[in-house]
Amino acid sequence: MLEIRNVNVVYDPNTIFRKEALTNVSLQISSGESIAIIGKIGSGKSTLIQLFNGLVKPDEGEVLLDGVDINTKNVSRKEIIRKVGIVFQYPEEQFFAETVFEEVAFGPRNLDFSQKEIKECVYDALRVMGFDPPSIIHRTPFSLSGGEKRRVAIASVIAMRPEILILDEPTAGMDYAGKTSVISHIREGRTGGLTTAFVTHDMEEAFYLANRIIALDSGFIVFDGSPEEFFSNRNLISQIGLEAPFVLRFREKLLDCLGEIPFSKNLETLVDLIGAMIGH
Amino acid sequence: MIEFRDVSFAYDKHQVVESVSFSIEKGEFVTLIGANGSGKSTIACLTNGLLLPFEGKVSVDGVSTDDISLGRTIKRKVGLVFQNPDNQFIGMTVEEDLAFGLENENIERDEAMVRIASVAELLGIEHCLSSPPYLLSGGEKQKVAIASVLVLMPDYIVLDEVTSLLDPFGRKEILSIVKDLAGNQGKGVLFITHNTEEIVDSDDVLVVSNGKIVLHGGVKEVFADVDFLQSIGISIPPDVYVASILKKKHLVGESVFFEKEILDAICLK
Ligand SMILES: Nc1ncnc2c1ncn2[C@@H]1O[C@H](COP(=O)(O)OP(=O)(O)OP(=O)(O)O)[C@@H](O)[C@H]1O
Ligand SMILES: Nc1ncnc2c1ncn2[C@@H]1O[C@H](COP(=O)(O)OP(=O)(O)OP(=O)(O)O)[C@@H](O)[C@H]1O
Ligand SMILES: [Mg+2]
Ligand SMILES: [Mg+2]
Repeated sequence: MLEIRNVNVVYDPNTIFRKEALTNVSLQISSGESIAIIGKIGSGKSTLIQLFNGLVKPDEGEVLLDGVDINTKNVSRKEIIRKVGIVFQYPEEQFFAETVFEEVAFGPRNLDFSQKEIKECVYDALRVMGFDPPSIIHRTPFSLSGGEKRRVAIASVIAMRPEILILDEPTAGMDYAGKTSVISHIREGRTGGLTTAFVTHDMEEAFYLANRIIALDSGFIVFDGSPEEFFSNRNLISQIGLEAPFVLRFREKLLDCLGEIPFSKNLETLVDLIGAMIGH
Repeated sequence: MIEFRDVSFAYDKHQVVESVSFSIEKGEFVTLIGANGSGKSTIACLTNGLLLPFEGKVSVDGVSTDDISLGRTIKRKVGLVFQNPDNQFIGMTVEEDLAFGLENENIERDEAMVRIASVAELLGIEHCLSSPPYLLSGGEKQKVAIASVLVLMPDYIVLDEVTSLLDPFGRKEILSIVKDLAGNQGKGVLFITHNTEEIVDSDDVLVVSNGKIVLHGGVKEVFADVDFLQSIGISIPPDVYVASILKKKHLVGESVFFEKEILDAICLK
């Protein structure tokens, strides 16, 4: 379990650039959860998730992984990395290897996986991200297209088989197939006990994929609860500059002319309902 | 006008753009969609001579992009915002970064400051001006990258997935700026995106798959076959998807595609 207790993060504290990126943030993530972290640009999402593996250090408060404060000296980096895998917002900045294989194999190798396991993990992870491994492993990661880079970056973290998978805007720049790959991995992983937290600007993703939403505004957590509850709070949504998913907005607009329509989260069901109402 | 005539391009021996032809007039808002790796960014880099075709010809206002003597003129006419904004930052602060581009173009200091202030206001990044670009959040960087091309006021603007890291409000903001650039300021715009809601108001849509243009036409022509688009890796906007189901059931007319049209069709019944 991952826990954040009363954390403040301040960038450049003693300069005119002083920025309070997170203020008094507390949350707990339990095993098997799937959490969407949402909020306007600059609201502190990337800062928050970088706390999860110690990349950003709190100026105040604690980050606990299975009860242990990860920012104390005697904690092994390797142990943190084994448990918590993070895909950053700019994946291409992490690339360093000459081939895609070496890029994706780096994590598992570092965690002392056997040769056989390494190959297996690399191939599996690339397949999860929609690649045909033999046709991509020899390419240099630097020459890939933007979306291909992002997929390789995600594969390189999945390959380490972390217990907790953290993704910073994983579907940004991805095509239909790529989005579907990420979404199914999160969905299927969850049934197998994988814990995920993902940052997204896509409200449909937050609504359909997460069992919990954490919304940030100017470094404060302004909501922590179910997607249904969040997206029914229109005042809050517009106050923090977000919007409801299409299915809810559309249903609301239809109420005026169709009268009562049963609530449905699913777009196909909503269309069926409308079809039945106007069908004759 | 930017014109592609039978343009092909290969990295090493790997051909990624094949016989592509299209044009962008001043005042036109053209969108380009396609799966990951289909060749969109390569096409973007071909528009201003950053890459040169190995077959065919790209010209800007009649000048071929391989005319070395006019290379600078072409780059001045066609502003390109890259997919990864980090590739285009050079200054120590955002303001310096923006000023640097203007200085390079011999724009006077006073004029430069006016332009920077007005573009910063337009994009809502005034608070970022004194920060180092590499310390900004993802979405802030993306807006700064757009600003760095807007201050230069080129005749043509090529935007490669510049809304991918923006929040819903930021996306709408950028889109309305882009529409204004084409519609009111007479710029020629090429807008690349995976977010197909954003192509709805464009004058012309190019759909690429494996380096070829497989569909080219108006928005409704392109959205007419949603199954085909999905099969080549393109996401469908939710309202277009809803309309496609209602059409299959013959509940709305064939000309219905977008939310407002669906609502009108249903509510008139
Ligand atoms: N290393 C840093 N030094 C100084 N300021 C920073 C640093 N990193 C981020 N910031 C600032 O802190 C704020 C929060 O940044 P963060 O990256 O957490 O936002 P975000 O919610 O992830 O935004 P986005 O959706 O645009 O990615 C922003 O205003 C940003 O400019
Ligand atoms: N520098 C390079 N060297 C070799 N191959 C490259 C290079 N850049 C891109 N490619 C390949 O060329 C093809 C087209 O790439 P391009 O970047 O144009 O795609 P794209 O449509 O922009 O994709 P995305 O949506 O992922 O950004 C891809 O298969 C990519 O792997
Ligand atoms: Mg971020
Ligand atoms: Mg690209």
